[in-house]
Amino acid sequence: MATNFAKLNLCYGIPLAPLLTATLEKGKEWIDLLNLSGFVLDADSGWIPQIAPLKQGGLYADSPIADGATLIAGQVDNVEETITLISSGATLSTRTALMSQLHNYARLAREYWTLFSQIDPIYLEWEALGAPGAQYALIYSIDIAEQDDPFSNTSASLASRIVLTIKREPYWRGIPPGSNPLVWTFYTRGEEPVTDYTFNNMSLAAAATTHLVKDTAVDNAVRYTGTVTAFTRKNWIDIPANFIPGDAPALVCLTVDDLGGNVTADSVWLGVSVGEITGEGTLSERKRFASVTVQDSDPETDAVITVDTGAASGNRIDTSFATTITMVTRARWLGGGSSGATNIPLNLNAGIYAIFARTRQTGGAVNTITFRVRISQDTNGRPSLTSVISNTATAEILGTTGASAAWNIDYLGTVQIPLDRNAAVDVNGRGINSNGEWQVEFQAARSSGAGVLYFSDLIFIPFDRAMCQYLAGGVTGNALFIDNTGYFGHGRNDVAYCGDGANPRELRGSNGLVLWPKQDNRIYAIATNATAGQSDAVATGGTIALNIVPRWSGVRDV
Amino acid sequence: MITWLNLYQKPRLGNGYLFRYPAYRYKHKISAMGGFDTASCELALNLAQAEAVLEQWIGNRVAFYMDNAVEPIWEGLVSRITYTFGAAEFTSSLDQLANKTRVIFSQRNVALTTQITTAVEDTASQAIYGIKEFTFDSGATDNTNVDVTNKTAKARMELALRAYPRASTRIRSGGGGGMGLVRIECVGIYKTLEWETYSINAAGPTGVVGASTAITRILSTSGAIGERIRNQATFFDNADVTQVVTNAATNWPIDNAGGKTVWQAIQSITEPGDSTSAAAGVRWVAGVMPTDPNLGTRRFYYRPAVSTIGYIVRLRDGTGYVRNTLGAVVPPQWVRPDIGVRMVDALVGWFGNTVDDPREFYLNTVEYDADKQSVSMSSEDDISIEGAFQLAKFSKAQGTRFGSPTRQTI
Repeated sequence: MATNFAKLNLCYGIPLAPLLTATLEKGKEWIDLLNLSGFVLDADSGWIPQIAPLKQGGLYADSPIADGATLIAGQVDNVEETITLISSGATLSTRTALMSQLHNYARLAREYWTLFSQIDPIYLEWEALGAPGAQYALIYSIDIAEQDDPFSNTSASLASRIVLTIKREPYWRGIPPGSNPLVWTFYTRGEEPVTDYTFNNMSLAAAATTHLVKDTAVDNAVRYTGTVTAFTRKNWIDIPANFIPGDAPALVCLTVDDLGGNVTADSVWLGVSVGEITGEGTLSERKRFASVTVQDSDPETDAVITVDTGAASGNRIDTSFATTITMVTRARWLGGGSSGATNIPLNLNAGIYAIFARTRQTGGAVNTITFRVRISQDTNGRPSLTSVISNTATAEILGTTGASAAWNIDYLGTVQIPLDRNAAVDVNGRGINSNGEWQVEFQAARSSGAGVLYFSDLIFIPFDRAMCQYLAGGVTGNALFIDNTGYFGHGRNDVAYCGDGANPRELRGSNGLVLWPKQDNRIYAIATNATAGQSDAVATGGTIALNIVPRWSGVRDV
Repeated sequence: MITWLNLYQKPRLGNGYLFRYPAYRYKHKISAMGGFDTASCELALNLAQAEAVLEQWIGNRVAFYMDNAVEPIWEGLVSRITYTFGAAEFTSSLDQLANKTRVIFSQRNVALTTQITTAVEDTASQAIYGIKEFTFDSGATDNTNVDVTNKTAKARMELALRAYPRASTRIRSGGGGGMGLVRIECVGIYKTLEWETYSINAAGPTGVVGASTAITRILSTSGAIGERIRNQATFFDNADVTQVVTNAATNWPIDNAGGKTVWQAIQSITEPGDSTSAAAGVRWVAGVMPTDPNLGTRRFYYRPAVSTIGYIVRLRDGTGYVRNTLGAVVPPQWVRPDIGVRMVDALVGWFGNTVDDPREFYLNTVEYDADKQSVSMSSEDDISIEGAFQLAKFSKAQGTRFGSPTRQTI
């Protein structure tokens, strides 16, 4: 069994950055479990790495009057496995010293999770023979059972059998727990520590030059240039499939800077979408729906398109309420077929979204204009019975015409697309339908006065995979981190870190973001300011940078 | 998916964010009448953290988040904390806290009269927790000697004992038991309306007003003390009455008799709905809305109940799924009351046009269990303990085991 392993260590502490000497970090220590003069795996029953099972076998929707049962929740559990070692020593005192070290690691493993002051993780380091590298798993507990008489002093008993029962995290990581995720990024580039990078090259700040993926042109809006593949403004960052190895969701250390014009943003929402759908005809690229702008819209009752360089698409829709003040459709977008600039078929937008609208009111009194969105499918250009209506928000009086900063973003609720299923299948027998139609209607009403509603765009943030919000507190010029790799947690990632490195910030929603392996991922972002009178700007030039820690259920393949 | 507990300051002290923890064994209850009702969870904390929680978290605002980072699945106040450490169980609670106390009693002077002492208050406690009142009923006496002095002393004693949360301990025989997890129990914001007494003094106004007018008078930022809430802008934005729908069909007598809490007054206003003495109307509901993501405030709602069908359930789904009318699954943490529910695969072919359709019901309360990923939905036929005790009703049915005592007539 031991011949299948190139490396098996029980480790304590996080490895230091290359050539780093002036540090408060303890560094990494370890017990070699393949040491013929110390601990070695039992050749007969040493260790077979286990795969994480479903917790309690999974949670099922079950009824005695229906056949079968449906899985409704399936999270994986910690792995519990045994490692049988042979401990050897020239003398009894040598062997007992080895055992004491093992007992010490077992205690440290428990205390890492139960004592505030024990901050260095205990973890397994394992490299299979022929694997591309080592892999690591945090340990929660180690129970030790001696199989032979520990006090015997005869030469035959100086090699005794010990069984470790280890509870570890479900997946193996590509780098040690608590390590800077840039270690993985350098590895993907074929760069070696010391020779190619040192501790001086390992900053996670947005301004740093090395990241797995970095985009300095993440805007707080979307602007198409005539086709769905060309943008002059976008509010996302793409992570290609080949950047995300493994077979379990990859942990992410994300940095966001200047999104929404960092001066005023106090909330940033981030959502992950996944997948690539190849449709018929010319649509060969995954397009997860990001925004509905004034482009390709049809203004309706009391609504006209007006040039506004400060709006997301360079145009806005003005609703005067001249003839109708009740809640009726003021603008409509059709998302059908494979032609048109922003007409995107239903299935390419499949997902669950939080909807935000960017508007402002000019003139009139406060709290007199309200608006909402209605989403329908299979419309063929007509209103459909299959529709959902969002919550209603109230317009805010802001700013001046032409100012990109004079807008307010409101949350309108959530929507699932398609409305009834997770895939709209074609009635003509062609499977998932690339031509399924849907439409979005922007509706508004005015209760009194003479206010005019300006509309810029709708923003859709997906949250069927992962979504989080951090409250930036209007920090100027400082990048903020959301990290669930464990770097900022010194190994612990049960609670993701959110802050600027010195000051924590509130995080809501999921435990940071994860990326899905072997698939194209896209992270959408939108920044807002909740304070009345503050603008949610159509700002440009924000930065999102990220590094990951890939994970595997078994032996790593990269 | 994990449920997350986000902890904030006590509302009287501010709205600042403090900590975030994964919440285990999470459950919540949401009611059409009231809104977010109760919630509970357990936190895995070390000993030092658990002691800090026991000492500092009572009365803090919490919000629980899951998949949607914009809206919490539940929010309210921490009302009880229990920490089990071996055989010892330590509990701290908001339940018995009172920083404003009175005693009501009856005394035969010339004729039997009911009196109430002047309230005594601990303003330092109120500055932390908000105003929480207790009125103690000291019964009746035939003694013609002045008793108000004694009753006021009693009120002052209760204030001294109750002005701050008190911890209690319990040692269980046999030892062992749970270890390490801290249990957090929370109540919804609307429960703070049970903290105040409505219009206890005879100096208050009288008269009859429309039901919605009565509601807005209770929420008012000015007016007779006792008629309007005193925890102004503390737990919700009482100045924002945009969610109070006009109900002029039903009147309500402004009542300056003692004994009701503000919430009981709201219940008594709401229970008639928009019925008149001549015809039954529709039911109405009231409560406190969740924090509006756009406004950052919570508002009071008073409106007709939603009578349309919004959810579909199927017997063959077991307790796993609730669906919307389009057939899409509604995640159990997002199932909300005040809506109609239809069971679609039971009593197929029912055609009792003179009898209420048993497959459809109005959803009064929802109870969610995160570990089981299931919801329990209750209608008027509520078989839970709270339904048996008629806890959600102001006017309780006489003659039932747990209803209002039989009233004697002379």
